[in-house]
Amino acid sequence: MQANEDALARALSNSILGLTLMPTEACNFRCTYCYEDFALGKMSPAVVRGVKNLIAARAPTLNELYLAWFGGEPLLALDVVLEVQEHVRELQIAHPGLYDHASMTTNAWKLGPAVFERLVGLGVGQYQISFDGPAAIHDTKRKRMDGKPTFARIWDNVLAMRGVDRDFSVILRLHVDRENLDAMYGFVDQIHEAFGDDPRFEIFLKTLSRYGGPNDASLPVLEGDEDARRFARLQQHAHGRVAPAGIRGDTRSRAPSPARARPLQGTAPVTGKRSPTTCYAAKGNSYVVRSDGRLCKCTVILDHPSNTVGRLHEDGTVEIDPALARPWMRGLWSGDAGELACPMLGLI
Amino acid sequence: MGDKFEIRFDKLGNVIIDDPELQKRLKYVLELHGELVLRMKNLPPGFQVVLPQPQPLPFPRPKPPNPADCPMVMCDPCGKIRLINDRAHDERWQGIDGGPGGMHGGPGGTHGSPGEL
Repeated sequence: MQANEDALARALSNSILGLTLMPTEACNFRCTYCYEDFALGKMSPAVVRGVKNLIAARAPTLNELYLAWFGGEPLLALDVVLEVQEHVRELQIAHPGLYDHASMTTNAWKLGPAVFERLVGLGVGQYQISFDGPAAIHDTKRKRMDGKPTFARIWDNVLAMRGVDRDFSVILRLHVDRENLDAMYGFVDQIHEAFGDDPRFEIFLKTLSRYGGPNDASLPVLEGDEDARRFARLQQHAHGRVAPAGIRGDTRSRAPSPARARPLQGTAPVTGKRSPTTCYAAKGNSYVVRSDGRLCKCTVILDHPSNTVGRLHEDGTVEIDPALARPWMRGLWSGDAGELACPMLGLI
Repeated sequence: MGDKFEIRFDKLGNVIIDDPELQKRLKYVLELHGELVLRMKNLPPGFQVVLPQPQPLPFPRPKPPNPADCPMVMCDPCGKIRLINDRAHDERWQGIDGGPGGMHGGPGGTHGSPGEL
């Protein structure tokens, strides 16, 4: 066995369960680089019951439950999020040893103060919110479905989070490309001015990637050595500006070449030196629950045939085909850092 | 263990591993980890736990200890095995062997007078 023993044990442990939940696959935004097709809507009540029943059945033997709310835009199905989180809270009363960590990737359009406080109160403690630069640039890329701008409302919502005296964390994910890189210096300063003294907020600089969306061919992704140097300088600038909370960088030390511009996993890359990142898709105890009840491994290649490995039923039982799931987990016994970080590569 | 191991899933998504050696290895690591999780749960907000590097696993199993290294000695008066420097045992037999202090020998000695074995 070559993989890190602890990572391997955690990836196969039945005392740990990770569920990436897609309460809806609809979205009110139409970002120019998005790879999702929004074909599926809100999670049906039967699938919601399946999620709750699965967690309830596993709760007596679980130590750690990780719920990652994803979409689509998860807050378009806020009632589903609240229903499941309240269910987990009730289970924790019966099973005090159950540690629950819930996170949400949201565009923050509907993350007003009342919604935010309610979610935090139910244990959704980590948020990832994306910006594409300062308002003038962001609003050309990260647009509403009707084409209208989004920056002002998102920024106001994030600013309002500062005033909530609760324990939570926010990753401000900044998509960096050739067009917005220079403007990101000023935006990083703007963030520092607004959040620099609050360690609950941190920046994650993410190079824009081609994830299979309809506009992939025209995306101004960073390419080549010169772009890599420009990105590195931006990272250095951000490191110097956002001291309290820290800065996260892209996992790649170089910008991708066109030939290598394949999707990388969307999980938060790490800061500093650690053992190889293990993507949730590489773990045996982690699944994506799509809104129609399909169980998948990856949130990027959602509809690829190799991604669906099973199904969740209304009674909480699952059917998982080991022959389909095992290729995703091959990095656990190969120890290959690439297969652990992004098992999708090589499968499609 | 080979390059691959068989993995199945039960109807609740639990991982089923048929390889007994792998089962043992994972159980060992997880027991260590479980203790850390308990500590993490009790931390006040804002504190973080830095996970230690994984400890070496007891595989292959260590050899049995050398009898010469065994810390147990035979107690003459009682005939039982006791640990060296077992104060409770020594006090139980205080005075029987004589010597300074009345215990099993005085300073530097065991069953007898100073310096005497």
